[in-house]
Amino acid sequence: MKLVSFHLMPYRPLDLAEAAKHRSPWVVLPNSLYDPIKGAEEYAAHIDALVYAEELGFDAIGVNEHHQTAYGLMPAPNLIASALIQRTKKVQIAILGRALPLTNNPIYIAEEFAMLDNLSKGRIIAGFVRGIGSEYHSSGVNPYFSHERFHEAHDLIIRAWTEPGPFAFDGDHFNLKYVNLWPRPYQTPHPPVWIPSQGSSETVSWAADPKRKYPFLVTFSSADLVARYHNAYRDQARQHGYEASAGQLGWACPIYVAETDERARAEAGRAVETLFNDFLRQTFEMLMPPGYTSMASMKNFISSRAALRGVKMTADALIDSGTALIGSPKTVLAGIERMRERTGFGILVALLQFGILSDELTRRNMDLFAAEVMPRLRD
Amino acid sequence: MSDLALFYLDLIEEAQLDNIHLIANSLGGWLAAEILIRDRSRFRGLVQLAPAGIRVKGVPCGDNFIWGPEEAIRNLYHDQAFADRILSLTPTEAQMDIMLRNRFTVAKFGWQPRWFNPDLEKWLHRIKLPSLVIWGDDDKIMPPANAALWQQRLPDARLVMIKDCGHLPHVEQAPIVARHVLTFLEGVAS
Repeated sequence: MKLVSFHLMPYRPLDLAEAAKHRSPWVVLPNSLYDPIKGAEEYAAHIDALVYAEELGFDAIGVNEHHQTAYGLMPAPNLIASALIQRTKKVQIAILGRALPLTNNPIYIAEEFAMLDNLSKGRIIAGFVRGIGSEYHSSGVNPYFSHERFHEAHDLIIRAWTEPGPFAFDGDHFNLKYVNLWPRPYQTPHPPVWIPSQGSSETVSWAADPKRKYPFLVTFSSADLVARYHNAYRDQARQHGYEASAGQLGWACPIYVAETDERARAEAGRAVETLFNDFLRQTFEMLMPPGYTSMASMKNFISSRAALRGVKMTADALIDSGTALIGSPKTVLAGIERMRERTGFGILVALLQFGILSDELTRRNMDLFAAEVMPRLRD
Repeated sequence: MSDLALFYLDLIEEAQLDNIHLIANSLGGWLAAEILIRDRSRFRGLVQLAPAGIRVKGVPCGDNFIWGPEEAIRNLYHDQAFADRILSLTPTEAQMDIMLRNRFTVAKFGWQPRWFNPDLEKWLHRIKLPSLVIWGDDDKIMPPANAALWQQRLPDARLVMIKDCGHLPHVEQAPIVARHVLTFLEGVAS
């Protein structure tokens, strides 16, 4: 199994009580609540944790892009990736991902990934995402065209990476007289492309297409949902006439390991609750701007929402539903093995720091995961 | 918006309508202006009720895309009794579908830039028609500050500000608005 140590880089010093007075920690949370002195320490600590993951033997370390939120301090994940390249030697660096529709010129994304791929001598994994709903509020980009812009930007980037330039690109959203990347990507034909997603059927089908066969990562979902999306991907692959490999199915999940289940819950319970209840807290209108998903998906979301409204998630519920793996090495391994039996997935994207989890506990979690869990996952 | 304006001009031509009085509100006001700058020949007069379409730089409109459902309804009105009445009704599934479709469509037109066309204001001088601009002084969506700019840019416009009124003057202050509109129409006819 391929193991990725992934980080969101949350702003942990956030005054949660103060933040709770606002609509959300996304888009509208006053940035007077950000203290640069503390924030700079956060960057240092979070980067140290990712660098340490190479030492522990992870195959890849991962970062991602979110804007105007205390949930994650990486509006420009490639800047962090660039720093990581300088401090690591062998580990792959996964940017999971860049939000393609949010930019007005996707060539910049193609260029930056190509630069990182050269700087790292081919260690880059390029994640492509649409950005979550809130990012259409913070960027001003029209969510109605999100899908179209994603697909067109994707096509442009892949062509820019693979076709001899200069050539002209003639799209509905992006028009460029000259596409001619300097540098070209280091890897041939280009860095591997991964698709992190909440699991829309449209995205599953698109990623599984034989022309792409992009690894599909399901993020922050209950074990049942993860299994459903993985198997939906498998079904799509079969309809296309091939069998999906383990390396095409990924699961991104908060993980915490301690000596016993009780100790793990005591140490990480509050932190995982802050991830879901404080840092991820968004309204329907923020998550689902009009046009971001199809009308049918949005209606489903509305009907499931009545039940969710105002309900805080407890650590117990998150653990019981398999949304987070928190427990002894045996418990965590069992959770991973169970999913492996259900779906045959082969990429584990482990979020080993989440919410307010401290540096000390993060380090202990990483050590124990590497010592007790990782060896059992090597095929 | 351009497509929609030309579609309506085709429709009006096909239906052979003439001497039209156009009364519009909000996004409809934007559309009315887009129609009339292209071809006003079949029209007699224009009534604009808190139209979108142009902006006063530095005066933002309300963000009704981020408001929750109750907040969005409350922010439509000055007098919350109107909001209370609407909030006490439960929409049918068919009505919910229509509302969702409307939300998608208005986002397509007005998300970015928010509720205006940067090229519209400079062509408003083409609307050489008697016009009446009506605005609620407590409009939380379209800033009342926009009213003066409309009056300035339309060649022949009178402005009426309505006291204690939100974004839907024809709903919230119906008798007053009706009186102003009728007086205006009589004036145009004479």
